[in-house]
Amino acid sequence: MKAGKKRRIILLVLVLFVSFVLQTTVIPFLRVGGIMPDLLLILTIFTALFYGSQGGGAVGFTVGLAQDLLVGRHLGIQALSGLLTGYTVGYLEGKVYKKNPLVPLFLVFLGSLFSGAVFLLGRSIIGIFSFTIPLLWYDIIMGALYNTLLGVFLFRPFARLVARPEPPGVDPVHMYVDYRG
Amino acid sequence: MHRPPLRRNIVILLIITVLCLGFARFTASLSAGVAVNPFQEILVPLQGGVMHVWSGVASFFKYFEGIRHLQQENALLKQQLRELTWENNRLREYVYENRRLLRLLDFKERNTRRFTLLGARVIGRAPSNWYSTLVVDRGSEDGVRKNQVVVSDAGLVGRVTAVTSHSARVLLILDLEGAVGAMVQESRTIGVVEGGKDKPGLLRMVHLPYDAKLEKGQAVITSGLGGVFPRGIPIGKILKMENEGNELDKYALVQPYVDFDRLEELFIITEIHHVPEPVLYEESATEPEQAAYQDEVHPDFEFS
Repeated sequence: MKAGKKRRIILLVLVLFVSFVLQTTVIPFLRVGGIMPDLLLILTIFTALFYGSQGGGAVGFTVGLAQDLLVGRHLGIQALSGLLTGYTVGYLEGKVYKKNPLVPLFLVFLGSLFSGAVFLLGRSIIGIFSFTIPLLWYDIIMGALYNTLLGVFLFRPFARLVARPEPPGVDPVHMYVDYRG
Repeated sequence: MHRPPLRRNIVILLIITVLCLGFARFTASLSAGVAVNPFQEILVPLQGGVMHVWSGVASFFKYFEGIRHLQQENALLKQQLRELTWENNRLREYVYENRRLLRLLDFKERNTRRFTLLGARVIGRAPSNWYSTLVVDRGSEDGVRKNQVVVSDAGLVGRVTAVTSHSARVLLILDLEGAVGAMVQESRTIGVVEGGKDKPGLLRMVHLPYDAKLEKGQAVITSGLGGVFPRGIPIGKILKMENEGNELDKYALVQPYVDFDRLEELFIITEIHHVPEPVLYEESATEPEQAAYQDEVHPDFEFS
């Protein structure tokens, strides 16, 4: 494995680990109207943007499984939601118009909705649903908006830290925004 | 770069989906989830550290908010004031902590006849909007066991669902699956209190008799039915009655006494002593004692 790639992977793992600790300690204090942002989901989506469907899927599955382990119930539901979200966003990444800087934010919003939908569907399939779906959709939409807002501030630092470098001769601006600042 | 064909990826995703759902279904059927959780054990010191730093940072910003209005003062006075404010802030923290601990101590003393209580600190919270759980810094080595009840000086918090040697996970009554057998203290109307996602931070009292006449402000306590929660622990007060489509499916919105967002210290009931009369929350207290308790803990709570 090349030194640069190894370094980026180590950085990514570190970023995810620190985010995980923050998600379980500080982030719950940022609740607005009972909704808190999902830092790990945002980072899963960003990873999918830079590393494609397989990278996004792998990271989504891993952080989802970690969340499942911490919650200790319905093991696999958040892993599944993370996997499918990371994979789908990574798959979309190759299909969308890349020069628009709003694309990553739009994908955070869309990915958050998708993740919530998979989560609800998964819970319904395994028969642990007890509440009316429209009310939970409110949570999902507000959560997606909150994630998008947080994504505005997180995208650039994340890209600087762990993004895969562009091939030589390619204008770096083509990758959403010039994250090298 | 070589990419595997989409069809193969979809097949792999489908297989993982089925495995995940199967495993989730299996773990959902376990009453207390996955009991052994080394992952949580690894996180405990980190979570404790981050929460410590977070408290420090919050105090720091609080301090600067406090001195904003002093910007007109000259440099010397500012310096003196800053020093005094630092000192004052520190002492005030002690005062608040002292008050909190006194209240906890008072609570503990009042309930020693009925319960053996173990103090614990909150060191972590659930990582998503879908679960309402806490992690506390007490575990099996401190005598914590699964299904033990967790309370604060204000009322019921939840129950322990998983334990490691130095930490325990607490399922809050706010959680969708944290239902509690409950009754209205005044009318003794029985029901079930469960987390209500429609109104964040509020509870719903359901399975009420169709002719139940409940009023705003009435206290809701644990009924003791179900075998996990002992009878008589305050849960909250009724905010209003609502219907779910028809008159038969009515439920009460309940405001919990516990402020779950600001919960720092709590008690785990490690042992329940069987005494004839419950002494929890001084139901038999004299009027001045009731008034003092009401002012301090439940400003809107009325003793029956």
